[in-house]
Amino acid sequence: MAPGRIAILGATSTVARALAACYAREGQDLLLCGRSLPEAEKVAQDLSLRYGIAAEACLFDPDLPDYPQVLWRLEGGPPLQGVVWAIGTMSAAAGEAGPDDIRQTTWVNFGAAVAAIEGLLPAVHAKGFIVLLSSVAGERGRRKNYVYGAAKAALTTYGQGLNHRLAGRGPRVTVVQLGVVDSQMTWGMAGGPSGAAPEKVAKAIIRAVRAGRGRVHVPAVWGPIMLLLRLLPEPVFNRLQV
Amino acid sequence: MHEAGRTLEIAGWGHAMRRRAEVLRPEQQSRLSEALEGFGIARGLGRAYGDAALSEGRVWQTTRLTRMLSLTPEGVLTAEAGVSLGDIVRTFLPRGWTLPVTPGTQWVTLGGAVASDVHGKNHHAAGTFGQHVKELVLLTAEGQLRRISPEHQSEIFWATVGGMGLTGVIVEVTIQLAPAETGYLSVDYVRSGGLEETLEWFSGHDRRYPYTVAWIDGLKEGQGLGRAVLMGGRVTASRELGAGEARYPMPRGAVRVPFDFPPGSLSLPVGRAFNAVYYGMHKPRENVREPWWKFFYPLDVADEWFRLYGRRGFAQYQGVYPPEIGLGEIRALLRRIHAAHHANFLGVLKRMGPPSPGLLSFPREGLTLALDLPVQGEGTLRLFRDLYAMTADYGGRVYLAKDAFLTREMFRRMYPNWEAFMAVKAKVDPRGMFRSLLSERIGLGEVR
Repeated sequence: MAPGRIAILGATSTVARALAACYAREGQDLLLCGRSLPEAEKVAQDLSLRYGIAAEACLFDPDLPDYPQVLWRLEGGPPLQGVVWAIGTMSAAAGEAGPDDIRQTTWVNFGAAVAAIEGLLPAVHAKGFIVLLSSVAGERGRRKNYVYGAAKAALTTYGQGLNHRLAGRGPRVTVVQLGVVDSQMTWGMAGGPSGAAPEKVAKAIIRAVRAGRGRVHVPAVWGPIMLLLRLLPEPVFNRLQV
Repeated sequence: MHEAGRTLEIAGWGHAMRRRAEVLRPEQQSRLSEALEGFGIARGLGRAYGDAALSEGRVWQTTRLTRMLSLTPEGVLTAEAGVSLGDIVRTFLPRGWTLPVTPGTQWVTLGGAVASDVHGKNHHAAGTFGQHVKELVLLTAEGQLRRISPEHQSEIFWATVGGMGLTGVIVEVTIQLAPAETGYLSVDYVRSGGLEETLEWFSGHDRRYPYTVAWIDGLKEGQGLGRAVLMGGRVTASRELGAGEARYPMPRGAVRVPFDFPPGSLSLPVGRAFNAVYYGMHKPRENVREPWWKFFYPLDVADEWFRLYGRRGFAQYQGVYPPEIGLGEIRALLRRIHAAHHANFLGVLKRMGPPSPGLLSFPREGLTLALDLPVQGEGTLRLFRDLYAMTADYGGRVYLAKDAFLTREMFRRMYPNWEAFMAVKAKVDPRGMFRSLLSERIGLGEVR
């Protein structure tokens, strides 16, 4: 394992916090980047108090995206051991999305990730890792969230390309295709399933990163589910209420 | 952006009361502020037995506001209100700090412990939970975060401690932890053959111990009525531990009660047998060493133990009476319960210390008696009404965090500070945003 801190972009999200807690429990120092500095600071205080690690909070606004803010924190220090992209947003339902919604959804879920990861790449240790939290929504467009899904599909493709580019010569890239997680984002979805516990999801992600997996479904059961959904012929799929 | 909620059926811990509500579970304080619309009540881990954390409107659930923020070298902890007491013990006991006061379950949030101003086995020595709180951050109806303490805005502070969530949402709690030499307690077990002996122990012997409680056999009639296993505990000193023994032991996971038991599982004969076995099991012994979770949280070994009572659930009676109340009155309460043929498992009796300044806090000097009773329809309602009337006649009161049956009139008799409380509420929550089914039932939801 490479030395150095792990930077988590979007550190106040449910999965990111669980992931950060898992790393902190192992004694890993963290750079926690979030859109709200006070909230990111609370996460940093929590993890350093509980686990005795050094956790620093840093402002990160995906709208800009201000990865230079993150780079400044790294100046003079050792390279990062890893970067985790844990930012995502699901706004209006697909049919109701206006231009601003569409721009926001595609940018935050995809463009901002590419800009930030490309910008931070030189700061990541060659034997380090990059994790992109994508979604099963990107595997087959569904009427409920296809704009979000399309942006996540683009993120997955970007991760694959990056993995190809860096293979054997740079940090390992793991694209995590998340199924339904019991998170702040899914809580408000009417009638949705309650989803997997964030702690279990975090552990599965860390296992996949350690195993050097390029792509992984978390929870694993979403692998076969999505395979089936992808294979369904259109006339059948279009009649499904998914 | 508006916070999205989820419509769920939620229940009090006794599961006799259920209600559909729009539940919001923000993970950041800023999102909590955005979720503050309409009316409703904050909720933590749902351990209030009745309807204190149920609402017709919204329910602001704090179980994901679980960040610990700071610990000073003097043991002053600041944490978000959704942090559970069990989490605090697990995190800080290995560093020599523990809770100054803990109720009988560790699965209570900090916010809930303050709002109910909970007490524990050391009430006679240490007072209530709220008496160890140094500061609160309270999100009030107008969306303001107020820092309140016994020194600053003390009026709002003592309306919030024990205030059942009716002044706002508690967001952060700062509390003085207590030093813990070890994670063990040295316990003396004494058996009493009847109520007289039980009360005799509480008339002075109990003062030798920082922690005391009696498990009372609520089903024994006749000569043995009020027989009990009396327990007195103190924190074990580190020199009493053997070489190589862990100073701060930690438990393994809990057992789950897998399904709702069929009605009648906890019937009278089962109850009698259970109580007899429990009584028989606890031979008088001295200086028995027990790890903290076994002494403080014996029921936590089984998750969701309310399921033992089946779909209809159960209710708890807990009353506290003035110091002059004793043998005759406690005997009358137990006899009233016997007459109603309700099985009960492990009643609890204890002598409490001086009251907390919390306007609606439950504890006061005198004996407290608590019994879980299965809900069996009309008879249960009559039983509770009678027990409450007797309690009020004795000059006592019942515990709002356990209550499901109190009426407005009875509440006002038991809690003479209700008017002072309402005056503070009118200031911090003039439009009555914070309401629960409990507050509406006992007339604390009304805005004048």
